[in-house]
Amino acid sequence: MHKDLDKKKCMDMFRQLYLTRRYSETVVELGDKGFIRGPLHPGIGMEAVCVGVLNATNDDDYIGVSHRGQAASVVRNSDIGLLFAEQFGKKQGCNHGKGGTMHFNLFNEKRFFELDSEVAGKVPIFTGVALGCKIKGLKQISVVFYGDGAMSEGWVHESMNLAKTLELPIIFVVENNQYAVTTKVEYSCSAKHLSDRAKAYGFEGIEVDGMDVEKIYEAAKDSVLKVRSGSGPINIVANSYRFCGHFTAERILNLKYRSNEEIEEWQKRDPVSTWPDRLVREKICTSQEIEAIKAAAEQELVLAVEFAKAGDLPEPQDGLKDMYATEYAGIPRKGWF
Amino acid sequence: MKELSLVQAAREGLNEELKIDTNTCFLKIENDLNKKENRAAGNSDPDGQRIVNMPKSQATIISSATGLALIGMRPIIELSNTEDIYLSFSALLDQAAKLRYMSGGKLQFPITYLIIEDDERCDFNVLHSDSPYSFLLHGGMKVVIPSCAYDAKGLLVSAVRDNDPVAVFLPTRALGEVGEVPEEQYTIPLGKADIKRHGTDVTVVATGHLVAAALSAAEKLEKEGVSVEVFDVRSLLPLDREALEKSIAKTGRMVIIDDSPITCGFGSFVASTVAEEFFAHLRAPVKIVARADVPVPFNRLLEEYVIPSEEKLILAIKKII
Amino acid sequence: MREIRYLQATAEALNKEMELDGNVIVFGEDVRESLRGVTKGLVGIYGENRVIDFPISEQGMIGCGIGCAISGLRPVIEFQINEFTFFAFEQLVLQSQKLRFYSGGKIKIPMTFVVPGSGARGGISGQHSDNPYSFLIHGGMKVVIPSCAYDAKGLLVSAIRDDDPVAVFLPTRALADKGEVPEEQYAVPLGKADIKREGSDMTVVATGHLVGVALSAAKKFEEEGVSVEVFDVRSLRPFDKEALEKSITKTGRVVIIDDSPITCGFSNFVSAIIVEEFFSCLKAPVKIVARADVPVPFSQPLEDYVLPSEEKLINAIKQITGGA
Repeated sequence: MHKDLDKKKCMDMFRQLYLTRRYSETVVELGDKGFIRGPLHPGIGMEAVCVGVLNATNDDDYIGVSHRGQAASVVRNSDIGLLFAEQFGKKQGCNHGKGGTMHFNLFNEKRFFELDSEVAGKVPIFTGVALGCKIKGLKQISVVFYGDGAMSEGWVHESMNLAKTLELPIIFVVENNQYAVTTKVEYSCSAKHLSDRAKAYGFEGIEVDGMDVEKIYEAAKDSVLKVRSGSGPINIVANSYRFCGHFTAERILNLKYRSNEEIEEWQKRDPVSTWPDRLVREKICTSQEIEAIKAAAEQELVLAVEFAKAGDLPEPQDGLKDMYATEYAGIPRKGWF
Repeated sequence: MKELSLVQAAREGLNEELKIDTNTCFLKIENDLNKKENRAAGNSDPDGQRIVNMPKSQATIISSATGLALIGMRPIIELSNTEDIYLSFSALLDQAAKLRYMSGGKLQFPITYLIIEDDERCDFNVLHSDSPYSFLLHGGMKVVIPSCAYDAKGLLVSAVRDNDPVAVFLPTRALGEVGEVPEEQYTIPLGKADIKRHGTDVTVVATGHLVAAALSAAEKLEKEGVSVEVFDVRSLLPLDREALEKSIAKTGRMVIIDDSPITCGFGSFVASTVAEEFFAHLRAPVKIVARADVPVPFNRLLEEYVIPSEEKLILAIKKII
Repeated sequence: MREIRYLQATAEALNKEMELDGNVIVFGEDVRESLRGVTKGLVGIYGENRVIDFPISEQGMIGCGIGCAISGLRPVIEFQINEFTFFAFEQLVLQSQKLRFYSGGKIKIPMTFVVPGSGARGGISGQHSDNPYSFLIHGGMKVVIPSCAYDAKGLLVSAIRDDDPVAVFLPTRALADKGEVPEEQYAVPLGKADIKREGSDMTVVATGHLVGVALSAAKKFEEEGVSVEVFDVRSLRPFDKEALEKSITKTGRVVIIDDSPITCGFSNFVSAIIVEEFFSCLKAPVKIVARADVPVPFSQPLEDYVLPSEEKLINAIKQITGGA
């Protein structure tokens, strides 16, 4: 086990993995029951990437997570009730009901957000954050997550070029879950290994097993040290998999882009099972301690959902508020009389 | 007071803001060396860190300004031509203009986009001749267009100090307009139009360099007994609806002259506002003199045919008097 | 005549055009599996060379489309989400729209952009709920929005056969609507509006799914003795000014209901035409019911508040007919 991962840290990482998984499953259930509107994009199977990387950062480093990155909220110890309330459209939610699923913002409170749901949209934004850290001479670094599909977007390449030319303190983390909706990564990515792309831009690209939280942590810890010391950007490609569909609607769409056998093969390496198995096997903790963590997590979920259910829907007229920080009469225009 | 050109005045306002507000930073996208003298680019480099030369990746640079704003900076970006707006459309209107709202008002993005509209003239690149501010209006972004040197400095300073994304367009055909400009830093508030000439028979609503065309037309028409009020919009969004109402209530007739394509352009925004909210004051149809819905052609004659002009304005006024 | 769903009608139109014209090809993301339903089964019939999945590089995809179009093919490009308009804006408005003009009319760019499920789907928030057609119209592009299954099939056929770039927006709230659709291939011409309901007291100019909303409002007003004419725009650009003139001359009162933000939106375009060219026919202000100038918020009461609705339309009609 990595030297930094003592018993407390290992158990905490299990708590984060388990709570994130149960959070995602609960969101799907609540969506089916009608509490949460709109399509949902859970990241079931991919939890290890976010957990591994974020445990290697400091609490004040700036993080841009992908639309499957709810683990960030758990790792940063933000109240997940705020996420549920937001998804219920309540004004107590972290975006006051305006953002909803895929748009969590906890930037001022916990230095991370999901907010921008454009494909790879956060990559240039967090490149800008890294530029700001450099201009202001801050110690913080910027970490941005995106998927294998998003890697094909033009501005990802522009950002990587920019980050190296200006020697910015940023880590680009690719959550390669093998598919962009239904398109296989081998089809859409011309490079043999996704990490080759960073090399083309002149900086280090590391490939790591995205189902092994210790390996991810190790790669991230090294990278964070290097980037914080001013050596420029680094790219980590975590090879992972999503057990669920791209979004919940996929269950009724009858898409045939992958086989059940393939899903089952990957499920054997589910970090939410393999990590605690390993901790018990290596006698880092006991199975009773694992059960206790699970029970506490379930309780946390129950309270979070209750908080969301008890919240209030916003007033309709609030739909016209918060567009501008410097307000002027007459804007935003209403569109009707 | 001193005499400066519009672009010099803007440059002065910008450089001073960079000095006095240490949260500002200036991003320059690699510029055409030929156009150097026209750039409002900050020449001062207050502490060697806050002016950054960026490689030509427009979309990413404009999006990175959103990131700079996130951690508390006040970025100003100069776009060297209007094509940059198209390339960074997503960064401008799907990110900067929306994210504050989507965060429930918790974040703010005090960004200034300084766009020096490239030459419409036929000796320059036709693909850089567009006038794209109406796109930004549709996306809810604040837009200002000064018509003279005095307004240029004041509006730019206000734009920088505003806590939302603001696009400042300096129209090519007004860049060289010389006028008196105070030495000290001052602001002209957004949302305030300026009546550049009072009149009673017809209101001409004009933007940017077309204000001068309107003033010239007004002088000519005065000799024919027509009293023209020239309404310099200055701030397209937020629009000074109070001043607009006051003017149309007085004259009852309106012509809008604007340099963006007519369909869904700024002209149609003003016309429809009047048609809905100030209809009772109207005594005649509202006329719009704008660009035709075509790209700007290379040949000079063709170009003159499709863009708004003083002659077309005078014709339009005469139709409704 | 059989009744089929709007989405099915568009799929039928595309399939048949591919059969009739070997130059028609389809680009998009996940179009082989067909996430959105318009391209379902096409790769099995026409092969991988004519139905191509692209990586997530919208600018590149549109650029490739332009290249194919210039060299004689007829690409139909599906936007998986409405916001592709933003990503690929330069290629759409600067390149595909202008190149023909700058070539002096020598090259043609027969492209079709299909946006299935445009507009607010409910709970998908600010960056996935746009109706960005007003941007395209301002950029000079031809745009059509069918309101019913019959028009959907016919307009898509016309769009594909048109030799210029045409954007076809298929509103999310109309996709499941059923309607009578002929089995054979037919074209509904661009530039022709359709009076979906004749009336004499006022005109409601509506686009997309809001035509259905207008028809519903019209029915309510009929019971109160107000006769509402429902003008289905169909083709936003080229716009049927002749039909608009005919309608306004008859009624003298107009409300425009449109699902894009009000400022510099399609609603402003129509209003400006009316107040400029048909002013003398007007008996009342030109009313607009459009989206507020904000992104679409997530929470239901907020989302409902900012979008155009039947209730708002009814209020607007009452304001200019003096109630009823």
